[in-house]
Amino acid sequence: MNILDYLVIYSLVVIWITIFMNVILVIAGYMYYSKVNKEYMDEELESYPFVSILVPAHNEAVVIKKTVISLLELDYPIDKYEIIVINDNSSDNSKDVLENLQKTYYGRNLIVINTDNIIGGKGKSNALNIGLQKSQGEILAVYDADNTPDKNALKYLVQTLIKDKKLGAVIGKFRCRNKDVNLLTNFVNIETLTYQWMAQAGRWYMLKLCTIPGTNFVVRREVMEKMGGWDTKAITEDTEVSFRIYRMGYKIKFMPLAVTYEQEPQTIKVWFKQRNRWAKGNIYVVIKNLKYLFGLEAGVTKFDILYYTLVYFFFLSASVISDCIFLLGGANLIEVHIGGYETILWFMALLVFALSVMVAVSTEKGELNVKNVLIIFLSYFTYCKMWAIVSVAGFYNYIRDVVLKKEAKWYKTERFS
Amino acid sequence: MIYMNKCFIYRVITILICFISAGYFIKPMKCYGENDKVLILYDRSMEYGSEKNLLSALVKSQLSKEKEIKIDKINIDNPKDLQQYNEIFILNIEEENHNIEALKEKLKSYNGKINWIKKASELLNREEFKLKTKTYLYLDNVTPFNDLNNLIDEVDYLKDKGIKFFIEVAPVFVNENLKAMGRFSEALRYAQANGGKVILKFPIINSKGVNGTDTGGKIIGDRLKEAFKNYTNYWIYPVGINADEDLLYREDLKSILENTDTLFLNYKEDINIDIDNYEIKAYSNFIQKVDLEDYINDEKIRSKNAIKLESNCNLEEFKSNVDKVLNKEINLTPSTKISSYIKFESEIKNNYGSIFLNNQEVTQNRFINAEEYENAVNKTINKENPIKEDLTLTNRRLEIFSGAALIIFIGILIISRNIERKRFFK
Repeated sequence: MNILDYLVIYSLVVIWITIFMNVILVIAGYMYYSKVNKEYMDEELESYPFVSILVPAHNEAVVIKKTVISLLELDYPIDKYEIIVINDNSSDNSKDVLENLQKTYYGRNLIVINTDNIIGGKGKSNALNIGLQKSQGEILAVYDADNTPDKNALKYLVQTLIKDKKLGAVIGKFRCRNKDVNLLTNFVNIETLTYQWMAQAGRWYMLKLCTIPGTNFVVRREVMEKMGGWDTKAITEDTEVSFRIYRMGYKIKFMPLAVTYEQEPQTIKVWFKQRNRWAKGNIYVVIKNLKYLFGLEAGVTKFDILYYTLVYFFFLSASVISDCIFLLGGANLIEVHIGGYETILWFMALLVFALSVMVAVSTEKGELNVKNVLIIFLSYFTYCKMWAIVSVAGFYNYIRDVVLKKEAKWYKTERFS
Repeated sequence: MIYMNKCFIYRVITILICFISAGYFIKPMKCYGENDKVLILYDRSMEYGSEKNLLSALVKSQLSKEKEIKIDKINIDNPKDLQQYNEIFILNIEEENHNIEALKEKLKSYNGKINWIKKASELLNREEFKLKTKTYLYLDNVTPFNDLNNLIDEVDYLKDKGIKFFIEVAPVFVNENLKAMGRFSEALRYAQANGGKVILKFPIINSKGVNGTDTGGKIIGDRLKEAFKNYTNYWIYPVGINADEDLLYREDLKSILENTDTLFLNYKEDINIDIDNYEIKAYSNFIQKVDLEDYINDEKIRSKNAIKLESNCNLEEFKSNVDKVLNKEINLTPSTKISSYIKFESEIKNNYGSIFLNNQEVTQNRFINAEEYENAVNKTINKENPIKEDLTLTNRRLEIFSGAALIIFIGILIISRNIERKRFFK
């Protein structure tokens, strides 16, 4: 056996472990979906805790108006929540848009914090920390500047949080607002649904474990204060916070009935930059938390450490290796000496992938259609490969930043009008 | 209208591209149709006191014309279904044959051509016996024991003279792994790459069985198969068989000879034939080997001939022999101008110079030396038997796991569909 044979075995083992885990997660996610479907949410709460909704916004003039209006129209007593928009060193007309909104909705708890490049402009974590200092709510809610939540979203999140003292945070579901714009947004739509119903719902059902997605979630103020706010070094602050919440002994619950709609990248360039940030950020979080893998305090987050390690280090490298070996082997440039590997197995992997995504997608009304089935199959050969490239680039950027001691730069996702 | 014209032009261009591509990628193959069938009825194969076998001569003349042959002795039970034959030959040499009259009666219903031959001259003076349609050059008697450097020089000489030739090789079925075989095969590959097409010689088996009978066809067939396989393993691709004339009439060898459509025949004058109800299949290439002298003197020739040149001689003698052929201004047909097949487990097709082994092209347009061959073979062996790590069992388990997952997923999808339907009707 030569090095190539070992690489083939490595990629086979890693890919199938990932497939195995995902199969389990999808089934668990679907069981949670069945359970949630039978649950009834209270339309009126006995008491409404005061909530501070934090909206970090950097050059979001294109979308911020719609977001703020939808937040102002939430089905939650207007005197029981405040909206704090952190207009973080924007160079567009966000300030004017927000001032106009303040005038229009005079009397509502709409606070706008305009920062300059001295105290602001340092990324989402920093903006959230600024908002945290200004906020009064015992519960904090975070929405991205491109979100339009359902009217009930906040009520459902808060209701779930206050019912269980063990919960440090509750996350809602996000849907793709621009899913039908092009093929890329179709891919992203399916990806977001799969991620939430497989990774979030599945992990919650099995391990009572979730990761904050960055938007449409509520968190107890005391929790955020105890942990000293958001980590400004983390460019995926949501994942990083999730790990810390669990280490504090709290849990994060997935409440899919609280829905928000957000805008997803519409061009490859924007998509690549966003996902590159995610990949780089998650690698940072995994490395930061690796030391907790053998400690008791990490609790169930050990699974997450392993899961992220598996996905970002092993699975994606295995996927790249497997593709390279397939291509080089097909061109007769290399040969492997592994017996018994049959095409049927590759075909089965494809089917398992496609059907697991279909199961995740089937939880949403009208999403399991012929078009999406075709897109799922197509994504196996295209979108998944794009992710592999992103992860390699993310890893490279992370290493480069560490070696050159560069400060992590938070890339703000470009919005589309 | 312009649009219609454009469409038409595009269609024409597309069709042309298809045809050109097809012409480029698809090599012409000769189709083998049903051959003519002739019936030969005879009472004696030789004239009294003569050594010339007339029946054999007749058979060869018909085989040269790509005819299928049925041979029967003249008797009162001669074939009923005569109409299946395109032509009937009656070799009626015996002066008093009581069956002739009955035969004549039967032949009345036959519409085709009947050739009555009563004397040798009537047969041998026929035009077709003097006709030379094609003549090839045949390098004879090539064995691993020849001087291989000399063989290479012979090939070079033929190449210099622009002659594409056949080269007859002795069957090797023992000690095929010896170094000598490697060197021999290297020389043969050199011949193949320089205009030579290999003909496999029938094994010479002189030993008799315990009851004094000839060695059985099965043993000979096995030997030939072995030799064929051995040569193909060394990337030597025989395109036909060479056999002695008398073997044509051996029932036990019939099936072996039917494995090819290309037969180079060694002339045997004193052949003794006593057969009845015997069939010989048609050959696309039935070629008789002849000496140059016989060829020039119109002796022992058929319509397709191969002038044999002794390979196992010194180079000067060989060159002189080649020059003799060329000086006679004989129109030599290149060995690449035939289409043939031969099949012993694996099949070789020769399509006008392009060689296919089991439908994979293996034409050697350049010389493959021993080192290159060894490297390629080792690579193939490694490819065929490289498996040190077999994942069959693991894969089987993975297949079971994924199969189970798929069943669960399909179940879930059915449930989801029903839920959605209920939602819709609500």
